[in-house]
Amino acid sequence: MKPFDTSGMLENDDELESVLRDFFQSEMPPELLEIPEITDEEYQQRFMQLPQADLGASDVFKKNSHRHFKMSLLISSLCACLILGISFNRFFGPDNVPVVNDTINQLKPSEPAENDPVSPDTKYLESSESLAVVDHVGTTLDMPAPKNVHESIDLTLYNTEHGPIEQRTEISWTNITVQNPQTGTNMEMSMPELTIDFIPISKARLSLINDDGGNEQ
Amino acid sequence: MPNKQAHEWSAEIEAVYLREGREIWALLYAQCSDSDRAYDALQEAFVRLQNQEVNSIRNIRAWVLTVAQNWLRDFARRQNHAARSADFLDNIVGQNSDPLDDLGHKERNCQVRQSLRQLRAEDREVLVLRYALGWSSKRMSIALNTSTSAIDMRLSRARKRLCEELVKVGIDHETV
Repeated sequence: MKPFDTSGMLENDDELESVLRDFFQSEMPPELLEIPEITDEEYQQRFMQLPQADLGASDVFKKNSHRHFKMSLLISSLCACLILGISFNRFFGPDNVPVVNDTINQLKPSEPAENDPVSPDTKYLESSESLAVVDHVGTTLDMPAPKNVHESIDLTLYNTEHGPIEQRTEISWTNITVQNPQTGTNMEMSMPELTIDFIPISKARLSLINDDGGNEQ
Repeated sequence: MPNKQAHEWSAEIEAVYLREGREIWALLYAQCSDSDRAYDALQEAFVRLQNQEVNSIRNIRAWVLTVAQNWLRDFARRQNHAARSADFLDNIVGQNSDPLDDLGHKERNCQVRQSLRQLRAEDREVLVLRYALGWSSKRMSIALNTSTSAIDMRLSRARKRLCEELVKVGIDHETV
């Protein structure tokens, strides 16, 4: 037999119940024994009539705690989303200009000018092969390689008597940084280049352009 | 007018005593495992309630229970310095029962009381409500703000622990 196995000691609940009922019968003061007992339904009704603020103080506290927990969780989630959005925008957003290595002057990467006519289909091209010399107020400036090139292309189709013609308008902005060797200051410059071409196109190519949802007039 | 309010207040207190007295005593008994002390705490709380301002207490039951429990704690602190009550001497004279039966009965009650004191207050609470007041599980679940199944579980565990304690003090099915 286990040390605390009492299953065989008090044979069943009835024996324990008789022991306890006799015990509490003798323990309860005679005055309280004479008080009539109410039914469960009456007790339930009376319990419902008691001030709920006193009865359920702990419940109110639990509800408030749960509400505060949900509120803090919501605020934390919003903060996390905000931080993620800012980080994503900073690293992958449209303002992110590709970094150009400038091994000559160790310049900071330049950003496109605010008034740059940059269209959504602007391409960023890097060029490091050209070199120019600009006569600037009587001083000779060494102009390093252009920083970057913005290129915008617009296509317009015309139906003429000689067949369809494509007007190709290409605007490219070249940002360069020049350094005055006397003053040691850097200067940003943007040089536009406009190219307009009229190209007769074949019907086969026109159908391809129409399928792609290109400009059509 | 004030006398009328005081009379209504006394009547309300009496109604609360008749309505809640047994339950409050049971809860106090579960706390101290002493019938007389629980009854004293109940009486003391209602005496203090009588001295309160009319209609100054919103929930009389909760107020009485809190005051009585505090009185029990104060009593427990000072019990080592107080003289023991000799009220039991008043009941000896005039009794015609068999002294041997009385002795056996008192001994068993003492053993049960000792076993109950070894239990946790939560276990005593459900046992007192069930066996002193005869409450159903549904009614206990309302009073203790829990489910009926939880009450049954607590009762089952409390009975098992009490059985273990009763066996320790020498009460088993042969002596019952």
